[in-house]
Amino acid sequence: MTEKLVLAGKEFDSRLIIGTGKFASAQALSDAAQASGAQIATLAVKRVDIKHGRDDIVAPLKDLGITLMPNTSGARDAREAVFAARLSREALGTDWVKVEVHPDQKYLLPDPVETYKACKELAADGFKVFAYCSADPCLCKALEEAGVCAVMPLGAPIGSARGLETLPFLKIIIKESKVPVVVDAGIGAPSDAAKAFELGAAAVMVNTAIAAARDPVAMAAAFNKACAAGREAYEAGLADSVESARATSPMELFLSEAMK
Amino acid sequence: MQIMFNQEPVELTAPLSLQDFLSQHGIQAAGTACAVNEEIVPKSQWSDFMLAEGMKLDVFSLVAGG
Repeated sequence: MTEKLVLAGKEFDSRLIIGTGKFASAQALSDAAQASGAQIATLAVKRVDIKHGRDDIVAPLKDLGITLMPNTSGARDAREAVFAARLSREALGTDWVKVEVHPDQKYLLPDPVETYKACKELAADGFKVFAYCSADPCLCKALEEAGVCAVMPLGAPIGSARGLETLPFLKIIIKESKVPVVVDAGIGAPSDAAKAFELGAAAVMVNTAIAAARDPVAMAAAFNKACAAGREAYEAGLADSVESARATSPMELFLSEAMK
Repeated sequence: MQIMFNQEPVELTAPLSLQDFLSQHGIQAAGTACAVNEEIVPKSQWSDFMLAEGMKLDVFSLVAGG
């Protein structure tokens, strides 16, 4: 049994956070959520679509006992992110919010200045803030000092499935952070998630890698296992890596002696 | 009387509270947030909040997202 994840004073057995976008239906999402073992899921706040309607995803996630983490995706600056956070608090009655500010639609990279401003204002207003941000150790430190509950540095651009391209910076952030580090965005395979945990990440956030898999339920189960294995490995303490070989068998020279 | 509802004009024939407007459109209170002229109107005020000419009403809910 590994240590529990604690986020904003709440304990969780699972360290996998799932995003709910890109699933074929609410049922597909619900099945994948269950297989993933995730106890936290993100959602977005948008204008209601009277003409076309949308599947209700809040009720099925609540039925699974999943903690909801609304995000501010679509916000182009701090003002919009703060507005989105207040809307989701009003709609869901939760003070949890994942702050995302990405003005650029091509790469969806988070704007550090606006993200910082939004996080500072929302934390001061009593929100439990989870900051999606670039893998920048200085920014993560500033966000921590601004009162966020966790930093969520990206591994690679959202939905890119390119894995932990920011690995050297993630290592520094994990080493220096006093708040939990959730590796978010870009995770493409269960091995990426396992790697993040082996480095000491508190949690990982995965959406596209599960939702866009050929079999999302099976992939969700694979992530569930990889996250658990990665965390177990971290808690077990990885062997040091060194340049030269270190024998695993006794090195007596019986072969060369016998050949004489 | 005309208001803007989620960025589209809507004609109202009689004075209407925000709560009645939402009910007419089949919008549940659970999981919903409303803003009028970009100010959030708390659920506790929906019944008393009367819509008026030119108001900009935006109604939001939670949807799938990562």
